[in-house]
Amino acid sequence: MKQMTRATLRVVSFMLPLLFASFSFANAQEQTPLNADFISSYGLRNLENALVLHASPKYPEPGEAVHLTVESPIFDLSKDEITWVIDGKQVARGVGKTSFDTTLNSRGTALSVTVSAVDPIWGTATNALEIVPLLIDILYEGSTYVPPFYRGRPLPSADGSLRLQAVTHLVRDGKVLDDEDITFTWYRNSKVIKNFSGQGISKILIEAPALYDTDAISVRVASADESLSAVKQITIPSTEVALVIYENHPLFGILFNNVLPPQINGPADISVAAMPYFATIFYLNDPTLRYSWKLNGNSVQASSTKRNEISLQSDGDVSELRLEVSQTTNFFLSALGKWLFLRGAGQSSSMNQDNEDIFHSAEI
Amino acid sequence: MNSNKTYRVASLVLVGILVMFVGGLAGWYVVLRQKGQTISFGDAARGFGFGAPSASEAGGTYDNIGSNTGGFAIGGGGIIPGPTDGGIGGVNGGFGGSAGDAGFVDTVIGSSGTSTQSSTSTTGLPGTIVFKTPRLWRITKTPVAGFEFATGTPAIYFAERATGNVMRADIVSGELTRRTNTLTPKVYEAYLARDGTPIYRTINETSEALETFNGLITNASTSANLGSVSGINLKNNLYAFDANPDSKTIFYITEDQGGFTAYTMPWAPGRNGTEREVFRSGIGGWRLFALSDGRLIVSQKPQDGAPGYAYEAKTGGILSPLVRAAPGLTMLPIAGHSAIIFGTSANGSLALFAQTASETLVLPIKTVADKCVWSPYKPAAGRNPATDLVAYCAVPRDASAKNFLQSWYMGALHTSDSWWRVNLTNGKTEQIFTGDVDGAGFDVVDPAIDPSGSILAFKNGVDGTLWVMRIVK
Repeated sequence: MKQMTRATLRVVSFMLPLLFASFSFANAQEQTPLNADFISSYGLRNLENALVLHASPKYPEPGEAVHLTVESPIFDLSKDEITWVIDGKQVARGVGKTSFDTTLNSRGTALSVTVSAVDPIWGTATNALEIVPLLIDILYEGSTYVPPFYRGRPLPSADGSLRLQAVTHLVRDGKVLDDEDITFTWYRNSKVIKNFSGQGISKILIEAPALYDTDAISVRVASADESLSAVKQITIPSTEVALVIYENHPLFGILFNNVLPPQINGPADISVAAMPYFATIFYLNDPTLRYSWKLNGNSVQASSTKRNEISLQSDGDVSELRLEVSQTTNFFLSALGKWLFLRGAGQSSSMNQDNEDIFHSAEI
Repeated sequence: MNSNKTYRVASLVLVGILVMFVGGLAGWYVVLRQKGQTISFGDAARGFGFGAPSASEAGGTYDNIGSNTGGFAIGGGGIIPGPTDGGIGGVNGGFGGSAGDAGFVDTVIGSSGTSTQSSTSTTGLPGTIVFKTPRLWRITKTPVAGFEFATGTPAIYFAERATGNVMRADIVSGELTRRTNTLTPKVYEAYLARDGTPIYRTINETSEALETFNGLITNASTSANLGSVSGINLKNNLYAFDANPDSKTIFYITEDQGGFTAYTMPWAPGRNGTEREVFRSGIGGWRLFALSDGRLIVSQKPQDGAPGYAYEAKTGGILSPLVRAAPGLTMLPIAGHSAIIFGTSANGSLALFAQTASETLVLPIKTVADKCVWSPYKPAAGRNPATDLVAYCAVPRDASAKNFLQSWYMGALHTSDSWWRVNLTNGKTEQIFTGDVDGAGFDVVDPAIDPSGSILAFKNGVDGTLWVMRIVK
């Protein structure tokens, strides 16, 4: 009996440490590497930062795809479980997942990337990266005529001027670079536009594309040390002058809300004003602009002060009005319009198209 | 003896292995329990409670986003399918739109609106109001230069185009009263404060200069007395202009210093205020929005098919992007919220989108943002939840013209519109009024909504007349 008790005690005393050791071993897998002493003895520290995170391209543009990769000089990432988190949301997880692809949104908001790896020997390591996209917007418009309350964009026309502006958003070390700290190099059809490139030159005025042509305009922006650089390109077509006429109402003024159609059942008397949209002028009375009015084939004189306007009075069944607009300094500016005014009755304005009166010209 | 000893050793070893095995299992159980994760769900009740852009392993959030034409890149995380009942729709089309009831019409286009129809269920107005005007009421027979809703009562001020006279229309009784008698001929555009105080924009017949007159109504002690308009001319040729009667801010762009400069000025009736420079630009073709929450938004004037950009003008002259490279961009911001409605026009096709801080949704109606207006929004305050994000849009029956925007802006084409309501909070889109009643339609220009969110007003692009429409439940 004594022997049995002694034996039992020996067994228990032998088993208890084993039990404790196995329990601790299992629990400690998440807490301390098995070879913590080994790591420490070699002076290895801060292994939690042992990941290196790369983004390609390094400075992407909005809407651009980005290839993310992670590597480590110590961890065997091919066997480790790797987790990718973007903007606080886990997007991928897997053993050996050392790369991930994502795309920046077109608004250019920054992307926050975090990657972590768990290694059975070395523990857990994490690294993070914020990707701030390079933003370049190229805004353009023609330096051409549009009526004062026109809500659309003035478009460039041949032999006119083209306004361009590069709006940039280059961030380095958390600071947005001013235009003065950026070098702008402007290109037309891959050729540098001389005299329009340099530091801070984000706004330029150049020749518009030639008649019926389209130009590829690009700009390269770079920080002073060339560590940040990007290129943006747009295509800009030339636009022809659009010649329209509106009624110039005695009370309401020019009725810009209603272009007169080619055939008008107009009122007995009507004044019309011609608008050459996208002509290379600032004012309608530009002295270089020629308005050639013809009524039923005969030249007629418009007002000396408002050469783009003419008044018509009822005369005959049908009247044909023609207008040719040209410019002495711009060979490419030529626009022709033709309108038929039909006999109408009882209509006071082109806004009601029931009038059947007829016209002859009248000097203003 | 030896066999007994061997037996004993073997037993001990086996027991030891068994104990270690059990101990190891117990240890892992503890580890796993510590590592247990709680999965949390985002709050979908808010409607837009979605997180960061989602991206598959293959990359790209664009597979989640609706139509992408002409190289235009839509930002945000794309469309995330929401709940099917009244929620935000799936990948194609964004919203679960439906053509609801055509809308109840009391009387259409009465010229004086003196019919005795009544409606007691107009959305948003307090109590029971008996309207003597039709639900769709054409207030004027002649063009107006501008208009603004009054506060506190269903009424609207407008300035006549021919004379500049400021009139007041009572939307309940239909009564029209004149407020001023100072003749200002041919006012092309007018901005009114909520008491009718006007800013007139006219064209000088001789110099062709665009003149802006900051007016003040004087000698009008009661609503029955006619007042006079006096004031001061601001700078000439303010081609881009906006004035907000709630934030009392004037926002404009002028050509100077070899380029263009944007300024704000307090809207002080009849007086010049102190200019404050906002930003400088190489282009002058901007559409300006001075919001009642103080934000200044600028959007490049659009051209069909050409990339357009919209920014928030911030301090220091910084332009913070809101929408980028959208072909034929039209846009509509809202005060008090970061949401935007924007439209694109390219290749004869219109599209409309709603954008929040985290995503962009394709709306199931084809129109331009110029024909939309936001219902007044109130954020959550105390026990009151935030109001729904709602927009009303006029949708053309046919908008397939190749260069729709250019033609529409020139006045070379007019549309026949129906009114739709878009609720971005619950994802519902429904038609609330069918246009083209009895052969008469309207081409909605400059839509506005009253402070209670219950009455729409707009100009008819065909003839420039002023219309109002009550939003009936």
